Amino acid sequence: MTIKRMTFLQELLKLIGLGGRLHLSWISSAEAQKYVQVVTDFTEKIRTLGPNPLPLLAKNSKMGRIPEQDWDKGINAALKKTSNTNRLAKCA
Amino acid sequence: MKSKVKLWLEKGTIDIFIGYKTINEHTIPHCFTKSNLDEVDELVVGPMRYPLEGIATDIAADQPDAKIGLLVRDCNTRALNVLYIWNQLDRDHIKTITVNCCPSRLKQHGDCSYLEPEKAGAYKKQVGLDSNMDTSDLEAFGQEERLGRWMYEFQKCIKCYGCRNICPVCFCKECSLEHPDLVGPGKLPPDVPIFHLVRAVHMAGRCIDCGLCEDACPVDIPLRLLYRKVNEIVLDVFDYDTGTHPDQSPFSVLGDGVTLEPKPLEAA
Repeated sequence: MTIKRMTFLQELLKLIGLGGRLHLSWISSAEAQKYVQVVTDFTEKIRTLGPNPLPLLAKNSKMGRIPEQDWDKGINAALKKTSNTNRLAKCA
Repeated sequence: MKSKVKLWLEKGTIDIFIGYKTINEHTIPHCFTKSNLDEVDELVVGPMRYPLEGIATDIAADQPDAKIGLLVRDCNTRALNVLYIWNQLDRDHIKTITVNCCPSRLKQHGDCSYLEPEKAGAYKKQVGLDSNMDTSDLEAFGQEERLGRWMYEFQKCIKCYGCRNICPVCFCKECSLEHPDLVGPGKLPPDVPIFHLVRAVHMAGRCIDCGLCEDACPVDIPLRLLYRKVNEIVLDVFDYDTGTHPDQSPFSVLGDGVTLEPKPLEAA
């Protein structure tokens, strides 16, 4: 079951663009050598892939979402306009 | 078709028939019963599409013995198959009337709200993913670009749960997407890409590619493309064809090699 789900998840991550960052291995407590080998290899693999790109992407304004400060600016500008014509007071 | 429905209701072959009726110019799902037989004349078939089998599942959950009649298209038939497999509906309690679906060479006319999906605009094509794209086109992008494009699409999410609510094969009582430990509450956009990946994982071996989620999505996230690709993986890796396969998906039971009996110790 685990191997099925992991194989699927590895493929899914590859589809999203985060391939190669998930690894599954069965290692017994008696197989210290194997454990060291797997961890070393995987660490090396991750090092070549570099850090997780998600936080960087989230910061990137190219993501199609207007950064929060810009939202504030827009709202403030809108508020100024409305206060000039005193539309808010009229509404109230 | 109407006389058939009437006959079924009169004879008691079915207790309830789920079809469509136009109310105030809106064609919406409607349940026709024996007590209101004349209403069957108002039964309509048009391009409008709702997950009628989802309604049937809700009825069956409340009244397990109810015999239900349904208006089905090809996508509904696949969804029904999945619901039978997962024991949500009883095959013997469902009667179907097949109506027109996508057009083909044999039948030129088609009735479906999804025949002409929305065309993607220039900006979406530039930074996001075109919903009408082939899954092979998706692989043409490099890993990094693909991640950026998916994230652009996911970030638009307003967490309306429309994709889950409209889904004919979403029947869980408790939904992982509402679990506060898995998807943090009170945040927009929701935890991306986790929110969409959780759903993608759950759609593996379930999604019957009806496209209702993408149709319902207010921000045009190419969900159908995502789930279609997910099920391509299921087909490639497990040789499981969702919607037509007679057994539950490979994720439903313990692996073939696993038995729960303690293994005998090897003779020394």
